[in-house]
Amino acid sequence: MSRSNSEKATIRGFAGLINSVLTPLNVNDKFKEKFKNTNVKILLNAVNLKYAALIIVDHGNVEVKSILNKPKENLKKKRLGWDAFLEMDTQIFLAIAMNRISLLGVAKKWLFRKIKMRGIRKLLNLLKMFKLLTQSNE
Amino acid sequence: MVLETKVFNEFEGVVGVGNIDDGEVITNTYSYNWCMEIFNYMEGKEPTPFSPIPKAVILPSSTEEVQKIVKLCNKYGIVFKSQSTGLGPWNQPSTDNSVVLDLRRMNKIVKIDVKNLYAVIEPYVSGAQLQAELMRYNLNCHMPGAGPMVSPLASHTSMNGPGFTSPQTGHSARNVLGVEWVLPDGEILRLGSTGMKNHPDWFHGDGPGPSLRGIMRGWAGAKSGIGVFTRVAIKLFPYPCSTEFNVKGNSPNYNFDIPDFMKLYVMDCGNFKKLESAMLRVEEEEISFMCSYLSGLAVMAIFSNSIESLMDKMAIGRMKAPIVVLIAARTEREFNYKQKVMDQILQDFKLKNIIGEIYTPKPIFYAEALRSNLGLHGFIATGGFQSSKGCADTAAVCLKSTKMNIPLKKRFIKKAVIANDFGEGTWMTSYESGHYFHMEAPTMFDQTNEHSVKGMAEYMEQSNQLDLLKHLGAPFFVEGTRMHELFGPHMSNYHIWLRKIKEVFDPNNIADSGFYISPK
Repeated sequence: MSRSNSEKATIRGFAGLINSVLTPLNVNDKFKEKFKNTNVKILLNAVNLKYAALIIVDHGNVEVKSILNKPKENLKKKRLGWDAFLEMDTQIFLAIAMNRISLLGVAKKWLFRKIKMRGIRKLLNLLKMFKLLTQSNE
Repeated sequence: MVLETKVFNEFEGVVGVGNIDDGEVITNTYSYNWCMEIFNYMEGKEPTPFSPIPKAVILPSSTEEVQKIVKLCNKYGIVFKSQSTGLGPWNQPSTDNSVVLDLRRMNKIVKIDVKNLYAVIEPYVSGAQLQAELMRYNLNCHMPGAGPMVSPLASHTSMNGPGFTSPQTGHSARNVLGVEWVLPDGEILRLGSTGMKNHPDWFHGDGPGPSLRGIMRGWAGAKSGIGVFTRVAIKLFPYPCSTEFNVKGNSPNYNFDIPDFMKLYVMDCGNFKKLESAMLRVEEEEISFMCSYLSGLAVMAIFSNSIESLMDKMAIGRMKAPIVVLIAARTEREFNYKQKVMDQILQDFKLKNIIGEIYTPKPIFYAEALRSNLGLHGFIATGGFQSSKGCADTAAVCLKSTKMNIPLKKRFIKKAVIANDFGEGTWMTSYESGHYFHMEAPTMFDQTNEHSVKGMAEYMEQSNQLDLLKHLGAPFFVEGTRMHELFGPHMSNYHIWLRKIKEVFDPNNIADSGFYISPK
């Protein structure tokens, strides 16, 4: 990954938002327990924004990096090493994150190419993570 | 249009040099206001944020000066529009043959009667100012959802008035006592006990015979269409907790020492049926200082001061039917009692309080709640918002309205003219421990984008139609001749009576009727 495509110091745009959403998990004991053996990289790209979010789950710890989503080569699996990929616009992302769309609705949008997915099994980790955010840290 | 020199001089003779201005800079500035563009478009005009430009702006300093100005307006056939703190299009003149009476020099708290629980105030006293003074006596006042920066005189005499503390402090219309009122012909009318021959005082708004408070304001107020209110007595309430108020830091990230006996509950009821039962139960127990239903996104917003801090609360936004309850107490015993009741309600309804578990708000939230300052958060996402709906009815009707509004709102979200809150953006609060309820649908849009402004106006128009067709009550903004004539025939022809009142009180049509009703 070239230095210009990876913003180490500041997490930009959409990736910043994802970072804000997910970093509370780093102090969530349930997350740490459930994901202690998980090592996965998920790339989340909002087509209407400039930066994609590379979510790195590393044995109970989550980190987000921002990646310039143009040119398209920046997002290639070869370059970033992601295990799962999800692309949509921000409105659909919000609907998924805030539980306002059913799995059937997601499937429909996928059929109509509003959502692009690779590595569906690994992507389920993301849904699990969102769900954990709404559960108490007991 | 400018004032003739002779007329200008006569006005100046009343208020003194420097307290009247007919220059372009001042008059053009006074023609701007928040959300004017929506109302312009709804009235078939260009969606600009400007109203007609007044001929002059006049700053009277006393009731007598207001009276003289109004008499001069009658003499020269010039319409007057008065304003206190001036938030929103309701302060704007509807004709350029007008003068604006800016009442900012009338800014005194005239009296605080601690024993009889009322305060007498002038137009430019803000809610924040009054509350700060009242706290010295462990007292509080009702403030509308607009916030502590607006004039309690304006909201009590001339505007709508639900607020976040409505479960305890009610509605503006319900808190008006004695009133000093300069009628559109320049006569002064003193309502209730202020008009008594012997020992007049401000403690009551009515006397023997029919109440004039209904004529003065009714439910939603005349917005200066029936005269100028120069003093009002308003009811006061016990402050809900300790009045020690320690705030440090800089805006917006203040730190605040949360009073000992305050607790916040945010619970997801999951569906509207359960929400209705839970809200009614909380209010039946008469324990809440605040009891509101807010959409998931709105709950995120009340805890946020920026878009960034809004989005990191997405987990809260997953709630489908959240209820927000704030309890406050003056003593430990009272606090323990209220907590026990809440524990029982949580158990009975199988609810979980997410506060302290999923989310812990910053202490400033509690300060904002005490100051009735939560409305500002509606501006965070897009910089502009306005509410559709606004009914006062049972919890069931308010929730029916909420549900029916969702598909309508979604249609406009799809057009990308209003912000995406999944159609759910609603605020519902109880009044007076659940005796009745308020519901409105705050909607975020982009004031700088004509497409968005037009879309927002169209959404509000269709929302009004929906209220009529489905009997969802009268919305906030039934004001102005067109709207009264639209709703009146469906509501006992009240518009005919309203027009008669206007004609009798204002025979020369000098009080601006833009947000009231025109004579025949």
